Amino acid sequence: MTGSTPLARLTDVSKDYHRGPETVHALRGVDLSIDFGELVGIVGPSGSGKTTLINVLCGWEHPDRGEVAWMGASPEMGRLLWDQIAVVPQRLGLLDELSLADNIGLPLMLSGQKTHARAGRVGEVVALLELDHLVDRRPRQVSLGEQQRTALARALVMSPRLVIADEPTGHQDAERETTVFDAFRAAVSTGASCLVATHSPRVIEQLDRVVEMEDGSIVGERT
Amino acid sequence: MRTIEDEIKGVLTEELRGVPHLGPVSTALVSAISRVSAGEEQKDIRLIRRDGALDHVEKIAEADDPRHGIWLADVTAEQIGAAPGDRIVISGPARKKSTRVAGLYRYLPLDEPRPYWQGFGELIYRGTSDDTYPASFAIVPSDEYYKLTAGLGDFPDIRWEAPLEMPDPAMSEVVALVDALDRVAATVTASVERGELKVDRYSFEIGTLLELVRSTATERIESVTPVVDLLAVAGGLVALGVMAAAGFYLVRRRIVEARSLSARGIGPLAQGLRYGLEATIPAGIGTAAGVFLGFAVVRLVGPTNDLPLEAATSELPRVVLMAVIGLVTMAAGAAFAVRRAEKEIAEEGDTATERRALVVAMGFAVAGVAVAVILRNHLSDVEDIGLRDPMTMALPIGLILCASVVGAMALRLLLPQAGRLLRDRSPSLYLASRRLAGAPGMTQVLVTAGACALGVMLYGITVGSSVKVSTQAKAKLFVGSDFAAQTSSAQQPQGLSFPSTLVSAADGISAGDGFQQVTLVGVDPATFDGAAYWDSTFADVSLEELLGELSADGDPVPAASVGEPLSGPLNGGGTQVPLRVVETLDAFPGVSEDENAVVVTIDNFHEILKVIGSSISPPDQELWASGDPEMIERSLLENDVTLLRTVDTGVVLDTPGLQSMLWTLGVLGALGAAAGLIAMLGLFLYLQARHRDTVIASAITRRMGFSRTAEFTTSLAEILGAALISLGVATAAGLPVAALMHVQLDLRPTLPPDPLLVIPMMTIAATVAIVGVASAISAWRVQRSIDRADIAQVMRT
Ligand SMILES: Nc1ncnc2c1ncn2[C@@H]1O[C@H](COP(=O)(O)OP(=O)(O)O)[C@@H](O)[C@H]1O
Ligand SMILES: [Mg+2]
Repeated sequence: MTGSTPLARLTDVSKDYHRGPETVHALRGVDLSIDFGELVGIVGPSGSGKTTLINVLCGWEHPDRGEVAWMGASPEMGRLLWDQIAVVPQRLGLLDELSLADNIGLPLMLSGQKTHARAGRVGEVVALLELDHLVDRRPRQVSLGEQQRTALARALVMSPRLVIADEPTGHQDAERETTVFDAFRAAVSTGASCLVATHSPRVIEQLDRVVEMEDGSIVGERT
Repeated sequence: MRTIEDEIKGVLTEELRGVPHLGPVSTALVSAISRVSAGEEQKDIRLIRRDGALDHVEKIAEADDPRHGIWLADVTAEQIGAAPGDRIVISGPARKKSTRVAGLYRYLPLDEPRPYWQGFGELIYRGTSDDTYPASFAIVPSDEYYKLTAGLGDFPDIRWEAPLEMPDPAMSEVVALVDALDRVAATVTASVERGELKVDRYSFEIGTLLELVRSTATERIESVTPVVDLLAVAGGLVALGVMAAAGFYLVRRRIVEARSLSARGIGPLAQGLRYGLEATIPAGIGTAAGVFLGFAVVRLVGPTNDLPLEAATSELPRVVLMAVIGLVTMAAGAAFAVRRAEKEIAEEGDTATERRALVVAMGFAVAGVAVAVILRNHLSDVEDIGLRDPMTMALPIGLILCASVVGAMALRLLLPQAGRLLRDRSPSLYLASRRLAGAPGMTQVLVTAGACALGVMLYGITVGSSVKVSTQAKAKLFVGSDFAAQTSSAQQPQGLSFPSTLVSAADGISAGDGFQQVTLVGVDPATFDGAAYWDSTFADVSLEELLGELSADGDPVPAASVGEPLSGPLNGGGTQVPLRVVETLDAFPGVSEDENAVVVTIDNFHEILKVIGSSISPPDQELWASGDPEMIERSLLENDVTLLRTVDTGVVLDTPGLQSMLWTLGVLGALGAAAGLIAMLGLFLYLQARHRDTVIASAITRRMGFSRTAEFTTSLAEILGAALISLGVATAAGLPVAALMHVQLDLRPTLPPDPLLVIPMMTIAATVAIVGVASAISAWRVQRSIDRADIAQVMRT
């Protein structure tokens, strides 16, 4: 966190929602930067603004105030493709008509890679997330935890610069949480950065840096 | 002087006073047939007296004093060579009398139809089975009629009429009226017998055309009833299917609840029963609404406006029974769904179940085909297959249903294979194929339902138009062309806007040793080709070649034979004319199926008749023309061609058997189209609704570089694919069954040509176009709903 440009930086980002006459301040002047090769966690109670922060970073939502920078520039965040930012949303958005393998390989397929060319990389992430025996099943034929790991595999498959995950261990048991965490670690070791919104104490322990949120503000940071 | 008519009018008016809906009584006197002549030529006429008759004809010419004498039809006058004012002789049953021509009116069959003459139709127009027109009317003024007929020794019929003042009579009203009239008839007849009413030398007959109305209506009801019954049964089955499906999907929507109830030991039956009981009140309301709606619809569009409200009360037990059966079916559907939910194991893919279902469906299909083949062989022995037997309707529909189910399933199983080919070519199409292959049950049901409905539609339309075209072809063979008229002019009329040809025929010629009767047909090689109906199945050579062979010089004269082979030379005039048979034909226009004929050129025809003509009746000469019969008839009349007797193909098409068959097939086609429309609409709406769930997937795939256009292509390919599968299966199921059945529905199987199969390309093309447009709209709506969705919002929930 020295003078060098971070991978992504939020500066004084605010976002309000209007619920009837009431205004909800989902984000209140948030400053956050994510460095290259860093594994950052966001923790905080439900409703503290974690998902809003992620949506802003993905470009699915525009901040009312403040700026979002990407590698020193300020592109339209929504236009950054899967090899830049890959996401594991809270609702996973798997394609139910595709097998897990096809879901995982989808980013490669849509970027024009042929089936045999992508088989290797798909195999790697499948192994990493311990999904080998399930690849021919369809999403609704596997458990929620397995679906979550599939979505994570899909996020990792193109080795993006930033992986954003919203509660990726919500449906994992203790053992699988480690698997998931190992996958993040593996990504970081190849130079990627990860931003993980989570509740899980076990995950929190292993993170490089943890940002604590409450009521739309960052209230603390642990390393 | 009080005439017999006045007498009867008085009595009837008195008697009919109590009968409702009848206007004032009028009477007419109708003679038996007598003959009229002005010189040598004699023609049949029928003397008639009727109030206002001359106000309801088109007067063409009249004598200086048109009040005396009789009015002749123009055609009759021309035939006997009489003009207004000429003296003519009428030969009655006993004596002859001389009178004069008061005027000429347009021959009624060639006049526009007039309501005034409606009750006399059978005396004016040619019946479908008659060759000739009835004798024309000779209209006689009142006082003269009595003198004339008395002089002729004629005993005319007295006809009476009372107009029916009931614009839209119901069947029950007609029946009541017929009964009332029967009573009046009995009373009047009794008073004639007792001598109270003196009818003198006149024969008095009392009857009513309403009787005909009643019998026609009864016949129509009888021909419609099996179809309506079949539709009712089919409708009932569909309704039960819907109820079962409703039960099934109700449970599927609350599957978690169903599972947890099962876990607490509440079994499928108990749960199904609960759904059934829950649905009682809605079902009751629905049934009541259905009955009400049924009444409204029948009142509005028929088939009867005579539906008493008691019908509902008397049918109540049946309605209630149906509703209860529906509820039980629904409960069963729900119970089945619960059971499936209990057993549902994540591991078991859909394909295994599907394969099993496919095998079962194929079993049904094979059984169906077997039944069809057996029935087909059995049916072909039966005379007059007709559609009265609902089996002939139900069987093809059953076959189409089986074929559609099998086809839709097979395609679904094949889709993944096809998808694999697309995987590296077009991600859009690959995704669409995956979506289709993995589509949930509802899509399958709708695709299959659409296939069944459209299959039935195509079947109805194909068989309907095939039967029509085949019958038309047969009719043309029977008539010779579209239109045929007996004519006296030996000259081919010139300057007509349509092709025409003169054909002569002399029948009853003995051939060989005299045991064979043949008809000698003379055709004009120059014009026959263009005007006569010809089908390549009639002969081994083309018509052109045939005419060429017949035109060749030679002794004996070249001829073509139809029917039994010619047994020897033609006999007549105390000598024999040998013929050289150059072609043997399977059929020839204008030659009926049980007739033996030899065809020669018209020149040879006349040469032969010169030799044998003295011993046979004079030949017929017909003018054949192709085109719209009405236009032809008008144009010929305008060209002053005298037409003595006309036939056109319409006469043949007008038979009740054909009409009821075409009606039934039309109803089938329309029902299929309507059901297909509903299924397609359901499919489109369902696929659209399903896509609302894919907003997140779409947000993600767009980040993967999947463009809006590609997304649209996927949606379009999926929706269009589903619709086209439906339509394709429908075509593959409907057309072969139509091909199988249209032969069975041939009304005249022995008459060539063989039944033709008309594939309704226009309908198919129009359906594809409509489906294409609807799919594009649907895909566009999907796209719009994705575009409009607030992704951030969707992500959070
Ligand atoms: N569309 C919305 N309208 C009103 N309030 C909203 C809307 N979206 C989010 N919020 C509110 O914004 C706050 C932050 O929500 P969110 O970012 O989803 O929190 P978290 O992910 O930490 O649970 C919450 O109080 C939530 O109720
Ligand atoms: Mg959240």
